[in-house]
This record gives sequence, C-alpha cells and structure tokens, in this order.
Amino acid sequence: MQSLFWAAAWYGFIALWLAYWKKKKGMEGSYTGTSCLAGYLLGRAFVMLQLRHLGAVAVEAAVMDAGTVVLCMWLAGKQRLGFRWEYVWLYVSNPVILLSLSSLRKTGAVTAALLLVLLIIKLGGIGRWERHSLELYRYYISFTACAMIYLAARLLLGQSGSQCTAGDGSYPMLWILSVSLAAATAVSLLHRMTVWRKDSVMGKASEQESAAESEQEASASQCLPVSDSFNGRDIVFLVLFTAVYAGLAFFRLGSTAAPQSYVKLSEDSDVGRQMIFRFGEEIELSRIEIFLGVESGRKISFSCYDYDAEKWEVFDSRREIASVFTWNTVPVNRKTRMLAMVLMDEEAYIHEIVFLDRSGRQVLPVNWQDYAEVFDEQTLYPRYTTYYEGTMFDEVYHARTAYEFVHRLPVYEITHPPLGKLLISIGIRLFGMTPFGWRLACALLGTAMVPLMYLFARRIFRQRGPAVFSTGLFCLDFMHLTLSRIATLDIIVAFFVLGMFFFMYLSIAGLRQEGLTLRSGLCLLLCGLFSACAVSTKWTGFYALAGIAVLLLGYLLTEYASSWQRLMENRRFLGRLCGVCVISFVLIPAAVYFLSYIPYMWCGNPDSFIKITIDNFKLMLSYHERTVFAHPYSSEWYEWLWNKRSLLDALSFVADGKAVSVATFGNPVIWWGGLAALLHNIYLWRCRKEKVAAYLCIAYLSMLLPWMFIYRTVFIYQYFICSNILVLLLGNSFYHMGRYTKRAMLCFGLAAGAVFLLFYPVVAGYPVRIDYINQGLEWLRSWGLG
Amino acid sequence: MMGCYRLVRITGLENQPERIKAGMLFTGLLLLVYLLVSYRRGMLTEKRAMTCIILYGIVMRMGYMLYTGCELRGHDLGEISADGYGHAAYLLKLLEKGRLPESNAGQLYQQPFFYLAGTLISRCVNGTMGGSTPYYFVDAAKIVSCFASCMTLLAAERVCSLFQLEEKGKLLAVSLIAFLPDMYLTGGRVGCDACHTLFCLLAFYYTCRWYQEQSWKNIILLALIYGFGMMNRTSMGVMALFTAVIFLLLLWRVENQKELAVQLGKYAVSALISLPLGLWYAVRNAMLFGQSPAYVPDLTSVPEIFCGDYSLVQRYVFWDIRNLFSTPYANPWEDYNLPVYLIKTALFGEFTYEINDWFPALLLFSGVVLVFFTLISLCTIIKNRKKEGFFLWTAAAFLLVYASMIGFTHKHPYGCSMDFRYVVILGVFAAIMLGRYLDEKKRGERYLLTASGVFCACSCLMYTLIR
Repeated sequence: MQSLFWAAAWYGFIALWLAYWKKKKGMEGSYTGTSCLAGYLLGRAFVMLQLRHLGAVAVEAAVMDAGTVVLCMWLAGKQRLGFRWEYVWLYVSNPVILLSLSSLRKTGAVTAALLLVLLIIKLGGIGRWERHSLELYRYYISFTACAMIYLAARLLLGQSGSQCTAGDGSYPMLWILSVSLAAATAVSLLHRMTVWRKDSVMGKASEQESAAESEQEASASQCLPVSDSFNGRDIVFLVLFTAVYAGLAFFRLGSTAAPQSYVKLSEDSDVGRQMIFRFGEEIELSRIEIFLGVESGRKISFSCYDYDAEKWEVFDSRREIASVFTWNTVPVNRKTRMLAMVLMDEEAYIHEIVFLDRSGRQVLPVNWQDYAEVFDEQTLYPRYTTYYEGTMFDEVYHARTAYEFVHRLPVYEITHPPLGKLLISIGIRLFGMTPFGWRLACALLGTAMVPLMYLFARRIFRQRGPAVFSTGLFCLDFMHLTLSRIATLDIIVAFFVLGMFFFMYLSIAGLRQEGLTLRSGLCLLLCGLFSACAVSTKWTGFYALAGIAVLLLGYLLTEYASSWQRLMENRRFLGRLCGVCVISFVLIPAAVYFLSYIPYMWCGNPDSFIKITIDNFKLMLSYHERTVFAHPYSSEWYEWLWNKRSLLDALSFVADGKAVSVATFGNPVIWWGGLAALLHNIYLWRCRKEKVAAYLCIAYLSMLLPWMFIYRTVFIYQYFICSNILVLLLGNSFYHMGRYTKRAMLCFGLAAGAVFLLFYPVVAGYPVRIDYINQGLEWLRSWGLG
Repeated sequence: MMGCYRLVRITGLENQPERIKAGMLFTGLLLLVYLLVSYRRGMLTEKRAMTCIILYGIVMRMGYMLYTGCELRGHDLGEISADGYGHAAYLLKLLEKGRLPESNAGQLYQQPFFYLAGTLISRCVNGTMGGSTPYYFVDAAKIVSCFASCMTLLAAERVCSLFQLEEKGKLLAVSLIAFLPDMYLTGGRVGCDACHTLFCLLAFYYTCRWYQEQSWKNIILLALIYGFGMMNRTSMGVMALFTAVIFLLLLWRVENQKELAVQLGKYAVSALISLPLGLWYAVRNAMLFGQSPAYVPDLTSVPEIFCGDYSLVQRYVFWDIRNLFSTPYANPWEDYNLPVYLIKTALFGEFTYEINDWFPALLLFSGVVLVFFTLISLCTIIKNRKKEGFFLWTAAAFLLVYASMIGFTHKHPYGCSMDFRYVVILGVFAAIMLGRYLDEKKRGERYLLTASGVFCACSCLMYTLIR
C-alpha cells in the first residue's frame, strides 16, 4: 500500500503541478481529448498493475470512475458547463481518485469523484472567476494535498477522528492536520471569493504578477550560454577526473595475496572428511580462523580429545562455515592437546587454517605437515579481518562463480546472466583468486564510466562547465565508488547502460542532423552492443532497453510520423532505420546473450548453450518472482529516492575502537539535490519543451518505474543505474539557472565534495573510530553504517 | 499578585481550579468582545489592542499559576522537607534555618537568587496567614516565577518599542510572547527558569539601551541585571558574551583618550558590581565543595534518557518528522532531536495533558509554521544585515543562545537537557524577528498571521481547558 501511495502521490502531484505551470504560462489549450484519455488509461493501468488482488468492489469503483471520466469528456467535448479538456485532465490525474480506487473503497472513490467534479465545475463554470482561475488551481492542488494527507492518515496509519477524545495515548496527528488544513483552505477560498466579488483589481494584479514571472522565466531561458567546442581542455578534465577517480577506486581495493593452496575434504580425497591436529603440550585455544574455498555453508563438527576420559568431546557440533574466500571464525576458548574437525557435508575446500591462543598468537600443530596445504600460507592471516582480505556481501556469489568459470567447475550463481561474472573472472585469471583480482574488473569499469560520463555530459550540454560539474558529482557519488570496489554486477551493468544512453543520444542527434548515415548507424549498432552486454549482465538492462526504445520511438513519431502523409514520405528512411534497429536491438543482444552461456558448457554442463540459456531464462524468471524474504537492508523503491536505507557490505572492528565499514548508499547532497533537479527537469520537459530534459527524464523514469511493479525483496543498489542520471539532471538544472549557474554549481559541488570527504571512510572502508561513524555519519536512523 | 494568591487561598478557590479556569475564560471573552466592539466603532488603536493582549497574557500566567499546585508539572521539586535535596528543600532550609544549604547535592548546588526572593515572598504571604504548612511555604515561591514571567512580557513590549517595530509587527511579537505556553509553565512553577528568562531579556534590552546611550544609569542597571542574573543562574554568562561583543564594539569606536578612560571606568564599575554579585555563591561552592561554576548534576545514573548514541546530524540538523507526527508531547526517555524537542517543550513542557487532541495538535502545527517563518526571517535579516540594526543583534543573540543550547546538550546528551525552559528567551527573540518579518511585508504574511492566530487561540484554550 505504501508503494502505491507514494507512486500515486508522485504521479498525481507532478501531473497537477505541471498543469498549474501550463496554466500559468497560458498553455492550458494544449490538452486534447487524446492526451486526457492517455492520462486516464496510464493512471488507471498504473494502479491496476500495482494491485495484486482485484476484488469486485474495485471493479465497481473503476466502472464508476470510468463513467465519471466519460461524463467529463462529454462535457468538455460539447463545451457544456464551461468544461474544458484541461479540467478533464485535472480529474484524471488526481491522485486522490487513484488512491480511492486502489484502497478498494467504493464509497470513498465515488465521493471523491463527485467532489472533484463539483470542484472542477466550479473552477470552470463560473465565467466571472475566469481570471482567477490560476489561483483556483492553487486551491484545487491544496485541496488535493489535504485529501492525500487524509488518505495517508486513514490508509497508512489507520488514524481517525474518534481517536481525538479516546485518551488512549494514540494521537491522530496527520488526520488532524489534513482536516484542519482543508478547513483553512476552505475558509481562505471563501474569503478570496468574497474579495474577488468586491474587488476586480485583484485579478488584474495577479495576472500582471504572473505575466511578470513568465517574462522573468523567458529572460532566464534566454541567458543560456552558447556552446563551446571540444578541445584540449576537455581532454585535460577527462584525464584528470579519470586519474583521480582511478586513484580513489584502486586505493586499498583489496589484497593481492590470499591463501591459494587447499585441502579437499571428502570421502574420496587423500585426507578424507576429517583432520586431527596435535599440539604436543596442552594449550589454551581461543579461536580457529578458517579460509574457506569454493563451497559455501560447510557444516563441520569440532571436538577436543579429553585425555582423562580418553574420549573425544564435541564442543561445536555442525557449525556452519558460511562464507567463501574469506576468513571464518570459530570460537574455541578451551584447553586442549588435540583437536579434530569432521566435515558433515559431502565435500569442502579448506585453503588455510589458523589456530590462535588466548593472547592472539598463531599456534602451529606439531603434525602440520600432514596437512601442509592448510598451513603453508600462515603469514597471510591478518590480525583483523576486513573487506581487504576477503569477500564481502554478494562477492560470495559473484566472485565465487567467476572462480568457477576460471576453473571450469559447476556454476553456482545462476540467477543472473553470466557476462558480468565472466568479466570478473578476467581479473581472477590475471591476479589469482585474491580480493584485488576479483574486484579488478569492477574497478576498471567503474573508472571507465567517468570518461564516458564526461563525454555524455559534454555532448548533451555542449558546454564544458556543466559537463565538468556533472562528471565531478559523478566521481563524488558514494554508490559509484562503493560499487566500483566490490565484485558485484551492478557497476558492470551500469557501465553498459550509461553507454546505451550515450550512444542512443548520439544516434538521435545524428539522425536529426544528417539522417541515417554511417556515423549514426554505427552509433545505433554500438548502442545495440552495449544493450546486449547490459542485458547479458543483469536483467535490469531490459529496463534501460525499454527506455531507449521509448526515446527512439518518441523521436521517430514526432519527427517522421506526426501524420500519415509524413509517414508515407519517410517510409523508405524508416524502413532502413527499422532494419538497423532490428540488427542493433534484437539480433546483436540475442546473439550476445546466447553466446555468453557458452562457458557453461565448459563447466560440465552437457547441454547445448541454447538449451542452457532457455532453461536458465525460465529459472531466473521464477526465481525473481518468488524472492521475497525479510532482510535488514532491503528497501522499497520510494525509499531509494531519498536515500533512506543504506546497505552494509562489510563491517569489522579493529584495534583502538576503530572499525572498517563499507556501506552502499548515495551522496545525500547529490541524491536529495537530484530529486529536486528531477522535478525541475520534468518542468523543463513538459512546460518548456526542453529536449535534453525530456531525454534525461525518460531515461531516469524508464529505469525507476518498473520497480514499482516488482514485489521481490529489493535493495538500494538496484537504484544505481538510475541514480547515475541524477548528476546529468543536476547539470541540466544548473545549466538553466542563467547568470547564477557558475556560482550555484560551485557551491553545490563544494557541498557534495565536503560530504564526500566526511563519508569517505564508510564508502571506501577506511579504518575510522566507531564513534565517528555513529556520531558523525549516521544522519538517518535507517543508515546502519557501523 | 500576592493579593490574588492570598485571595485564592482564603476563598478556597485553590481546590476549585475549574472556577479559576472559568474566570480566565470569561476574562478572555470579555477582552475579545471589547476588542470587537472597539473595532466595529473604529476605536481600535494599537495601544488598546496591546493593553488587551498584555492584560490577557498576565491573566493566563496568573491563572495558570493559581490553579497549578507546586507539585504539578514541576521539575526537581523533591521532598517537601528541609532535609531533602530539591527546590523545596532549598527554600525550606532558607525559611526554617535562615541559612544557605550546607551541601551541593541534588538541586542545592543552584545559585540562590530565586530561593532568596522566593523565601522573602513566601514569608510575606504566609507570615501573616496562620497555619501554613511547608507545602504552602514552598508553593508561594511560584509568585516570584509568575511575577518574572509577567515582567518578561512587559519588558518584551519595551524591547519592541525600542526597536521601533511597527504596529502590526509589535502586536504580533507581543501576542506570541504573551501566549507562549512555556511562559505560563515556567511562571507557574517553583524554579529559577522564569527569572532567568527575565534577566536575559533585561540584559538584552539594556545592552541595546547602552549601545544607544552610554550613560551611568544604563551601565549600572546592566551591571545589576548581570549580577542578579548570574546569582540566579550561571548560564546567564551566555548573554554576557553578547554584551561583551557590544562593549568591545563601542570601545573600538572610541577615538580620544579621555573618552576611552571614561568608557573603561564605566566597564570597570560594571564589573565591580556584577562579578561579586553574580559569582559569590559560585565561589563559595567552589571553595566548600570544589564545585565548578558550570556544574550540573551527573545524569549517568539514568541511562534511559541518554541520547548521545544518535548522530549529531540526527540530533541537531534534521528534524525528526516522524516524531512530530506521532505525538504532540515530548518524551525525554525516547526523544533525541533537539529542534523538535525544543518546539514540543516550548508548547507543553515535558508533560502530557488530558485534553481533546485537537488543541495540542493545532498548537504544535502552528508552532512549527511559526518556527519555519522564524528561520526565514533569520535568513532575511542576515541577508539584509546592513539595514537591520537591532534586529541583526536579535538574530545574533538568537543564534548565540541556540548555539549554547547545542553545546550544552552535546556535553550533556540527555533527553531532559533539551528542555525549552532553559532557553525560553529564544521564544522572545523569535517573536521579535517574526514581528520584523511582518513589518517588512515579505511573502506569506497571510500564513504567518493565520498560524499566529491559531497559536494564540489554541494556547489560551488549551491551558484553560486542561484537566
């Protein structure tokens, strides 16, 4: 319900706000029956898709709502009661109706609909208030806001008026706020109506005011700087940003050494399923550290030999050694001369074992040579285990699977396509199965995103300033840096998605300037290749693919198919373009996707890669549908927007009250500012018909909106591909600030930089006092950083 | 005030608080009718409206003080016995034994001004009344707080006049101060908070007067205010910082040596008066108990109210919106966010009330709107600093006191450390800045006036209707 509420609130208020701005700019005539119908269908489809269970009541409410829309449209079509299409739009885009429908409250929906229609009739029907219609719009939006707060109080918090006198400690604060605001708005409206009756000058004044504001805006839009050419300075910036970012990404990325040799515990191995360690004399062991190999979640029983009773005493039965390629701690805290480990699973790969006594010193069993492989890299055990020496978060899946690709073992992680893990495996081939090795590909691609972003921003803005600003912010985003330093798939897919949008922009610009030439065709092919890589890495690439499809189709529809005649005139061009698009966005992605499964065949799978691909496709589909579980770091899509919940990738406590923490979340300055920039860009897109804003908004929304309809457990890093667009939205917003652009960009950039420095330790895993994390960095309660 | 208190005691009205509340309500209605009639007849002047507001502000303070016993909604009163360690014990020690406390345990570490004044008043009120119990001896000390609270209102009106606030702005500022609930709460309680607010405001007022006219009268008054203010509570030192800056500013402007000598002489006299008066008790406690002048009782034994485990940003920068919408009342056991806690305690103290939820909710929401406008006004004043004069000083004093509050709560990270009663003067500064905002006719005048109206109405109704 919360998801739906936020979605409806966002959708409704953006729509109403735009309607207000259009009215203010005298563009209210741009509404047509088609746009109203489209708005109606989109809004209602949006609700229906979010609802999992549709009851008969909802259907009845929807039918009544449809009847109201038909009535409104009829009134507007016939121009009865002063009805216009803009009023139909006000009705269909009202979030209160959407929410009333979704809450399955027929009475609520009907009442809301009736009230709204009455209000709209009032808005349009009385000719003498026509000149005050802008102010009436404000009242309409205010009433809608009150109704939304009321619904939030009723539906989300279960508040009601009867609680006011209950005296049971429950305070219906939001309910009171909504009712009192509505009352205040009503009183204010009545008062204004009295004033309007008396004084017609007020209207003129407000008209003059709005005209002055429009002029101001128009003059601001004329202040846009002229474009400058790409030259040596751009190269300097590009190199500088890339170098600085590479420094950040590779600094303390991970150890280049980790235990490599291992003992395989299994029935058919030389060692068998148990290992017995003799220490000669009695020692007091505090813990055992085990660096586990490729099989995770191994169950091992630990026992000590009791010389008095002459028998083995099990002190930790079936203990799960959970994480692969990192140190797993097993507390012992007992005196012993002999210790045994018995594997309770089929097999396990143990790379290294370290015994530590009470003072934290390493102890070597006297019979260590019996298991030389697990005692030959004792120096690699760090005093404190952090992300630097082992796997963190989902690396236990992705790095492990990459290792399996390298060693042609059966593949473990099959819930995402294999390309990303194949890329990770390149680093493992080069630097071995070490933290640095498995993180290398991600760090490189994260770094490569910086020049790509610069080129994209430079191309979009045609100005160095906003491009430098956007790229600078991109380097300062926390999530970008964190994901560049962890071997997961998100940075890889983000790289390809950024490339997709970049090349699509170049394609559209090329098509607009010179039609379908070799250059624009090549850009389309490259876009297709990047799309192919994106979807072969993670399915979130499909959302971006839908986004570029919308962008391309939107462009073609407006430029070449605005009428049947134009369509006919351009049919040859469109036919050729269609051919290129089929190659770029169907054949290439399909080929890359299928080919990326070839390594499965080398890993012991006897089927053909086509069958493997199809089977895996089905498996992924069912897996992602049913992956619903409670997780402390999971978050909803609407929580991503304001950076509500961070995800803790690694946390280790080291000496002197210090901790090493790695958390995935966004730079609050960039993300919160980006949210405002998004609204501004929507305004630029819808009210000023600004093409860059339109492109960026569609790109952003295409990757965000699908998450509204996904019920699986999701995490903040899934917003990453979307958040990359925020820096461009910010750049575009600041670009339109006229003479304040430079100063504003500087101040914003400095703020983002300062916050980046403040948070650097928890973004990059730098040791820092735990007090600093708790007292200085946990800005929100939901940020678990340490 | 003493007469009223005695009258209530004699007539037994103290046991019939509903009658007192009815009287308050009736007075309010009477004044309202008077204002409406004056308005209809075109006779409503600023002076008349101001008189009504101040009068009703005083009625609210006195009414609240009269119907609220000293044990209700108090802080650290302790056992009503000379052997205790709370405010009551402090007063009773002075009354019964005629000497200052021999320990600094509990509340006995406090500066003695309020207790000395309370003892004096209590003796005057109870001395002529037979059969007074220790409870009444302690209870009568509320008169000092109430008097200070009323004087604060009158002094605020003088400050507004000095600053030449225009008609509307002045009325708004004085209304907000008149009906600021924490003024009733501190005025109806045994404790030095109300006196502290009064001394802070007087110090601010006389510093401004001193800036205008560097006369002996002003400097001696200022010295006495600081002396007694510090004797009341050492945190008056925060305001002294403000005054010190003004002193230095004036010194900077002195050009000839003779003037400089006179000026320095005045400062020296001022120090000679204020320092011994303000610090003698602190020095005594330092000598007797080794107590630091900035001493406050250790609360580590009450870990439930510790809020230092929240980040600084959560505590000081962001507003805890969820808390704001969950309950109107502050909860020292769970709250950690200073801005929200200050707003809530400014309106309701650290207490909950039995009343229809509409009143506290509307009071809180209007309070939030007023705080929002205060922040805008603060920014506007800072932006137009060159032409703001005394208002810039008000803004500076506001920021200084708020910063001191942050420092204090950072040093003592406990729920109850964030109580607004320590910085009620912030409310006065905020009201003055809001008055300025209204005078400047900036955007949102309608909203500001609506919020102020709701605030004043809810404040009066709530503290008249509580059970």
